[in-house]
Amino acid sequence: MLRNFLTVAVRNLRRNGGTTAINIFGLAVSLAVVLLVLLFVREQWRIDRFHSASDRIHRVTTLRMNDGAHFATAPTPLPTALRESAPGIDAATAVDQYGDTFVVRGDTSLGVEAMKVDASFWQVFDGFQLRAGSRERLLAQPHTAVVTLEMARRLFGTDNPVGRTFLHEGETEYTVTGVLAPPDGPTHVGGDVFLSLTDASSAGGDADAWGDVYSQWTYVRLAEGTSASDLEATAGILFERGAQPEDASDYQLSVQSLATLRFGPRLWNEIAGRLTLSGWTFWFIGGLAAVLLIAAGFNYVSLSVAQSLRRAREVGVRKTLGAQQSQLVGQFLGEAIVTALSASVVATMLLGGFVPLFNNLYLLDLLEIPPLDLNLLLDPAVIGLIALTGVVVGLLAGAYPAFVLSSYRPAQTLRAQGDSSRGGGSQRLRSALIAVQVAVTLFLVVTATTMLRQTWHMATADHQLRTDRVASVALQDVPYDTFRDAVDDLPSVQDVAAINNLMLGPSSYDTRYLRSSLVETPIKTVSFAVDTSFVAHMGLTLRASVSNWDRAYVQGDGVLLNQAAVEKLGFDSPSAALGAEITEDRSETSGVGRTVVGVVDNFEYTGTGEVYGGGLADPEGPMMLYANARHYKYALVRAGSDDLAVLRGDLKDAWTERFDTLHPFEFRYYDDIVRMRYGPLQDVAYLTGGVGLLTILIAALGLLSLATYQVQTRTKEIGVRKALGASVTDVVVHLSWPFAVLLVGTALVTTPIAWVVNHGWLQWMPDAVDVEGGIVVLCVGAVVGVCLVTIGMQTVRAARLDPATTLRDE
Amino acid sequence: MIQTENLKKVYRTDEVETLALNGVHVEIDAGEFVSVMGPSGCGKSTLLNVLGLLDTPSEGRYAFDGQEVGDHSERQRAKLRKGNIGFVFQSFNLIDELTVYENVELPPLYLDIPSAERDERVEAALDRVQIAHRRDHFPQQLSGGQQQRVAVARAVVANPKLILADEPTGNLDSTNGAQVMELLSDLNEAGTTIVMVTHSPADAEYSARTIHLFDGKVVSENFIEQEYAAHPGA
Repeated sequence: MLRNFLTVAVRNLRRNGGTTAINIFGLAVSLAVVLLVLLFVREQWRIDRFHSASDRIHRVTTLRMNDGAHFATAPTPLPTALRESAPGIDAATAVDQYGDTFVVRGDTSLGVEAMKVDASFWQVFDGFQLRAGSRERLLAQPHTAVVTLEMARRLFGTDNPVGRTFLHEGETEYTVTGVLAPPDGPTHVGGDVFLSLTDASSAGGDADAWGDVYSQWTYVRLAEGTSASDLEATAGILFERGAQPEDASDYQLSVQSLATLRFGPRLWNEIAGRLTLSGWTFWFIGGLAAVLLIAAGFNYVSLSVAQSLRRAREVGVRKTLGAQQSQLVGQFLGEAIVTALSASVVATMLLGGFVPLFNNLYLLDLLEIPPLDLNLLLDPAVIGLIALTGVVVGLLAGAYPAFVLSSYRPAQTLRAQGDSSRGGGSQRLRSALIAVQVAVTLFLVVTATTMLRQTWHMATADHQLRTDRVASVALQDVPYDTFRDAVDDLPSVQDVAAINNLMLGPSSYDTRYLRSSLVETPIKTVSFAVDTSFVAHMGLTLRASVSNWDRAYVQGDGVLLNQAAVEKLGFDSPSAALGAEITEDRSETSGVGRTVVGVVDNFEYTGTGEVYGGGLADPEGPMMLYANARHYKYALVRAGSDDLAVLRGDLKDAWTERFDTLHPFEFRYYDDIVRMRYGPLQDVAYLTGGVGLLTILIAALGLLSLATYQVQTRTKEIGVRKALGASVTDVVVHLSWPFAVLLVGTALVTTPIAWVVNHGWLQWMPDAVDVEGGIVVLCVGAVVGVCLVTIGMQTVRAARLDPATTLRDE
Repeated sequence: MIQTENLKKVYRTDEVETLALNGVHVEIDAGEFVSVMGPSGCGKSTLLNVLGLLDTPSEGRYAFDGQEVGDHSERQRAKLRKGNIGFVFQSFNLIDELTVYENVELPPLYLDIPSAERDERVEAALDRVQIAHRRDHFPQQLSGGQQQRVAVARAVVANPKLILADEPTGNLDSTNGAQVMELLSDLNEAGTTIVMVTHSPADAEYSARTIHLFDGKVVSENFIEQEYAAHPGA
């Protein structure tokens, strides 16, 4: 029986080559996207699963009660306290992410990603295997280190690294006691170098240390039978007992399993890039994939139902010969599964093209997500996943047609050839499916266009901050003056300025509280340490200033304010603020005196966080510039020409030759920093647009096939109409009319929805474009146009046929 | 084998009600060869569909092989039909995607007959209608007469008690038509009950009895005494 099903399935698919190709292509495209998402999700799912009992690994986190901020870190003494006094715990470890740093061996300085961990780390994360060294008391001694195999090779070549030493940041000597084999899967607690964290253990009884909830991450492996809530209760008790009363009421500890770490909401101070994807990311990309799959599934349903007239006779014959409905359902589902599995094969090939495109996404780079590896496709589990997806999609797409087709009654289907009594209901269904496809397409196209316009607007926005031809160099241990003097004369360098935090990029700011005699409450102000040349160098407009403001700024207590700060501090005008004494402090009490020496126009400095609604600074809020050479962390260098590569080369040479530093040269184009603002939205726009184009393609192919089918079933009618005197135009209009009404109707319903939704999300952007009516109409016109042309191609061809031929064919 | 009483079939659409059968009384004994004749639209095919359990009567009684089947569900009818009733249609109704062999194989497949026995039966049926040499051909590759022979093979392969033929020669030339009628006649002589709808008086002569329908009613029955006498058990 199965053989018979398969034979018929394959022969039927082959016989309807065009429809089969459309079905397979549509399903393949959408399956490829679904598979891409599944691979991505699978990679996320695999994070830290290679440890034994990974479901028992939990992280203790901290909730800040006053603003509900949820931090991934926990009080510093907690791991030791848990180890010493908590029941039901196999191991507890403290992790301190060092992040990007560097190690020195002889003359070589290597940039590395470092973690500081205590000796219990290897019990909690026991899936890490050693290539050399012993697990016994690994990292229990101060100044010991574990390095990855690759790092060992880079540092020590082919020598046995165990017992050898390197200098961390050129200062502290560490002895290598272990070499880590490449882990068996992705991990969120990885790094090139693991340094011993031994000083934390002494802090157990120190109440102030319990108040430090932002420095270290605490991971716990629970014993069997202990629940996360047990751990949460124990940690809470330990915290209350150890911390100062005000800390104990300010913070509350909470517990996260590895599972919620992988797909849960993103916490503040998350430990590493691999966990920075919050749940909504998966919903978004999963949603796009689902939309495509549904579009392709609709084609399958629509085309299968359209063919039902022809298949009805077969159903009648089979039922007459004794087939049960269930057997016919099986047969039609089988055909759907064969189609979907063929599509899976094509999808796998398409995936080969999609993966590199996906890996090119700026977001992955920004969030330090490792690229997807195409070799994954050779993994038996992945092959199984692909096949399973094919079967599931086949079942879903084939279910409705299978039940419709198999329910035909033999006496009706065999009574007359070409009986179209079944057409009414399925015609309505097909129309509804087309309407939904077109609506989704319209929505995606309008949304992607709006996103791209917003991206373009952000990319070309004038922030009143001149960042063109500017690059930043991290000063590290090189004093700014030394750096400036060394590079100022380079031919490729036009100007140099200094700053402590990069504006427009990552949202990191210092905040101060300013008070004037004119207002009662201090105002919260973002402050940047910049040198005097910053003002001219970055194109700020000095609205008012005292004479020789730059001298007062550098030597004394002078500060520059923006206009927002001037207003908030109660001054009537920029000039009224000049020379005014104000007080500045990090807290709301006490402070140091400052003098306003100048006022600059408001300009944009806030970073990515504010663009996407998660930042801490008010983009139009008060800001202060002050001078402090010890605070400068970056030199901002403007190139004399557009060739920034030359600038980079010159600066790098100067860095290695002129400065006595072991720090690696860190150089970034300012355009790359600014790109962080619009890059993610650009990616979302590309993804939405790409899916939008694919849905147009799938919808158009579906329409083409339906139009072909409709024309075939109406050749007699066309012939009769022409014989009675209808012109080609009359026939084309007559045949296209229902499609046109459907398309225009769908557009009329969808366009306002698309407008409202896009208008809605734009409200979240600080500097948003409008949803332009003209552009929306253009998008809608383009989609409807593509569909009408598709239908027109078929109807014109049919209308041109000689009636004698069509009537004879009948 | 077949007894109907006051059999009625009404087709309804939103606006029109058509009375296809209007109180048909028929009795057909096992082993009979009966023709049903009448003008187009008189209800011949409807009667055949009801007798073949493809359709249900709107009113009246129908007993097949001693069993009341008028109110059987679709599933029950399908079960009874399977293996008991074979069909031959005017337009052959072979499945285009299946070869000759595979088409004939369908009824035993649906009866779950094991493959060795199935193979034997299919070969025998193909031999019987002399089409075995075309076993791997598709329907489109055969002439009308050949296709109808395949349809007859498919109808007999499950050894049904009853064969219902709906204008089996309607799409055939006289030579091929005669061959098919000979086949049906042979089957009847071997004991199979046959009910055949036809427009052709010549074809009707192959049967022992002809029922004439008009406007959904039986208007007369002619017996061919000689043939009838040949099957006294009927």
